[in-house]
Amino acid sequence: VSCSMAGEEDFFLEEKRFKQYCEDFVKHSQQIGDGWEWRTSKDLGDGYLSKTHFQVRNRHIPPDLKEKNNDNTEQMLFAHVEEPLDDSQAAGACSTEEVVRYEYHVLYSSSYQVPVLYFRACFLDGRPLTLDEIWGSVHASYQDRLQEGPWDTITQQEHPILGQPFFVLHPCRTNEFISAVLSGSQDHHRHTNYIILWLSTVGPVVGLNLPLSYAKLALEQSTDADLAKSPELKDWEWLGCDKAAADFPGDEGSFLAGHARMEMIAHGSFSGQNSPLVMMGIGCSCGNTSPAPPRPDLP
Amino acid sequence: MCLMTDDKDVLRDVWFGRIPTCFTLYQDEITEREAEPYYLLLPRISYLTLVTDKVKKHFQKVMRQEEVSEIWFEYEGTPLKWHYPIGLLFDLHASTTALPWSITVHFKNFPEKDLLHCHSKDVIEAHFMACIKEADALKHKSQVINEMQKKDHKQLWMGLQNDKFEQFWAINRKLMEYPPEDNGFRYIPFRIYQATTERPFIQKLFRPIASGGQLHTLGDLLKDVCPSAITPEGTAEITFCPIR
Repeated sequence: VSCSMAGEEDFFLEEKRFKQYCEDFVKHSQQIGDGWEWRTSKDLGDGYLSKTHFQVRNRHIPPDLKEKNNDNTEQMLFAHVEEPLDDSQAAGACSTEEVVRYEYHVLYSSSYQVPVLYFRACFLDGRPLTLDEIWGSVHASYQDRLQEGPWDTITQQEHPILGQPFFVLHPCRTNEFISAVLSGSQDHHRHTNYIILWLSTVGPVVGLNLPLSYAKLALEQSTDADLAKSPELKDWEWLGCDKAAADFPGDEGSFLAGHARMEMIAHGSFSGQNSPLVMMGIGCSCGNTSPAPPRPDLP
Repeated sequence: MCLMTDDKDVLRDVWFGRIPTCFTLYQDEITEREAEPYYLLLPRISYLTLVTDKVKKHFQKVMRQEEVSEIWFEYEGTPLKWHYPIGLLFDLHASTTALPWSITVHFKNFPEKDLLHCHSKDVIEAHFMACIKEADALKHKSQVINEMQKKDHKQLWMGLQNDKFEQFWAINRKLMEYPPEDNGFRYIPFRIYQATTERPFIQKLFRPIASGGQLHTLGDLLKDVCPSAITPEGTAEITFCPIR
């Protein structure tokens, strides 16, 4: 990881590096049809990552159902939902009330020198979701943290480039968990894309999941010597919890992503005690009886 | 580094700045009898939704309960962003028109695409504190604000809410100091607002001291960050609105 470090300070992300990581991120997204693009502002030349996807309320459409061309996402939603639906669920999935259009933007904060996740959501008839509805849709594993301090987590703010209301995931604590992960990664000389690491951790809080394929981007940029040092990246394996991905369809998607990320960072000396991913692991419904790491006390 | 004694008069003038305002109910709102306009002196440094409880009560008296939902304000067709300080809103939209400032009050058809919601005072407090914290991230790498106790944060907010200059500045002065060995803050917290652009404001990192050791001026900042504001003759027409 190349981030600027000043003595004892945390891993601050310079704007130039932010743009470079975003560029690499978008290239990979294009290869796998994940729908991200970079938008440049006309006046000052700064920019942001952007992605739009549709989600059935409380149920996530896995990204592998989307085709490479995302122009007809709405059509695909109704044509390609392959999961078996019982009668009540089928009624819900087809009614426009239940489909939510999410728009995610990743901007750079020069004040905190970290990326920041902005998003907005509306039903297909154009009605925007309220802050309460957004809080209600936050993943169950994060609800405790949200109850403690909702105003520290997700609030409505003005988009700094577009000037319109968006919801924002607060950046003040980004450095805490990023630093913990990056120091472990550096010990093993592993190259990591800061954006992938950060977004795969905070995204699931608000319904945004990154396919595991992004981890390969990091590996591609590692040298052969690096790869020789780090153990093979296995899918869906977690410390103390071995279960194949095939056993967990549908809703457990975010837990699976959590497992995969846990695996990615577990190769370093990072113990995961302070990571929000451990919180997700505690909620794991895989039925495994091996002891999970103890839940850290939240600050 | 004590700035209080030197600049206290300026600080007081900024704090106690007022804008005489006339609030009129939007003509399409449904009332049981005619709504009289309501006059109020608005504090420049505060927020619309924090200081207009009386305005709300005044108009709700002539309306039926079911006709009233979230209040919002508009000037000459432009929804007013409650999360901007009142003085900024006035300077941005109405500085050239005669006083009192005429604001239209709405209780229906909240403009979702333009305005943030403000369902309670907690929302205003959270926004205000977020601004304070971001400013300190720039000035002191958040060290001063993070070392304060929750009650100090609360005192800043209560000082603003209750218009208590001394109470506010007892805490804010710590956020305005820097160690004697430094010549200023790490970066200057500033935003340049423009009414004409889609982008709401320009905000960049800017150091108070140049590499040669000399102090930067406001002119240096404008040249660096917003060169289009400066004419070929080297002058700039701006309205300077100190906020925090």
